[in-house]
Amino acid sequence: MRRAGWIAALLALAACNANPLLHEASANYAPLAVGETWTYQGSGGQVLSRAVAASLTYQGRAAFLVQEALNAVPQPNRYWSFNGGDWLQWNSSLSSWELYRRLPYVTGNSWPIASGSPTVTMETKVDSVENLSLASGYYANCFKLRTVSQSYAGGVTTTTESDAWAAPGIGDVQYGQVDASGTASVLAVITAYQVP
Amino acid sequence: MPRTPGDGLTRSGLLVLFTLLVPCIHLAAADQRGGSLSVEPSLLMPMGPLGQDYGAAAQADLDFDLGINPGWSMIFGAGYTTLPNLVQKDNYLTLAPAWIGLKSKAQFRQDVEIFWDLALEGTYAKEFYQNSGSGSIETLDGGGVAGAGFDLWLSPSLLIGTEVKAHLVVEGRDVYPFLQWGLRLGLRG
Repeated sequence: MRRAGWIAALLALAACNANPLLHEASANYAPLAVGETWTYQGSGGQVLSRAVAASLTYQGRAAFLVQEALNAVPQPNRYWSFNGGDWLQWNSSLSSWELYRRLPYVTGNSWPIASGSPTVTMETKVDSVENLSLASGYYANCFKLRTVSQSYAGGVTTTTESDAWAAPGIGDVQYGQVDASGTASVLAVITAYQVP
Repeated sequence: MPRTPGDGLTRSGLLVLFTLLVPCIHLAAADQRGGSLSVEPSLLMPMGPLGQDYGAAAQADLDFDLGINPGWSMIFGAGYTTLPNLVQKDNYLTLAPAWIGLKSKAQFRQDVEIFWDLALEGTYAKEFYQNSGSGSIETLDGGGVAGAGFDLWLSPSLLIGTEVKAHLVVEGRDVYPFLQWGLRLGLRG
């Protein structure tokens, strides 16, 4: 009986592990539907609002029209589409659909981002899973996505890094950046959202 | 709190599997009251929310049955499968469960044995991209498995049979069900 007790204890420990893979694998980290809205507060007080305004056919693909406004000033429209698990974004400078994110997120996975410039390379990598406690709520099992951009000019390479945290069932909840000295800072956090 | 791929769970997974198997091997040597060893090619179907993302796949099981008395056996075994993502065609979920439990059995006819079993289960899981990525996530979950089926004794030492199992993988407060149907081919003692 003692042996069975040890086995049961081990299995119970396994059930309480801190890496909820199946939860992450079955969750929707990009819930896109018409009518959804997200509002972010920038570190400088600015307000970014994002809304899925319409579902339409754009440049040959079924797509979502995403409208953004910064401090109530409309920003250029975004167009998002899905090709299986690949999340595509219309790149107006390249006039093509380009890979934006690859779903489902798997820690360590990475994909190239089209920069539109031969001297700039970009890549997004799924960095880690984190739990975020923000003023608007507690967001568990967020995937942290780090985009590294390297530009080459005059023999000098400049690297910039930006982060996005995606929460299950919500989407992006926080944005950040890493400066040249390696110091990370938060650029914007979600303050409200409407996702069915 | 950042986490990195694996989180050292592969090592803890092996530890649990080892802990499960060692006492069973010891019992096998000590117990001479019959039982069986069978391979079980089967079909595993994820149910619930996971079933919307991952499709069914073939699973291979190895089942041990150590007879305690004519009505009960101790069982243990392990399986392996890789489920394909239904949306992202390059994404897969590997599952390797191992279980230990009890089996109740009864003679239905002279050469047919019906049974049901209940077991504790540990499941190693790994999600990964096959071609377009280099990352992976691994974990070890606990849970249980319940099964029912019958064996047909072809000869004093050979059996075939079928079994349906319901796996319940527990992860935090969530339970992820899987349904498995398999064909058994084995040796009995």
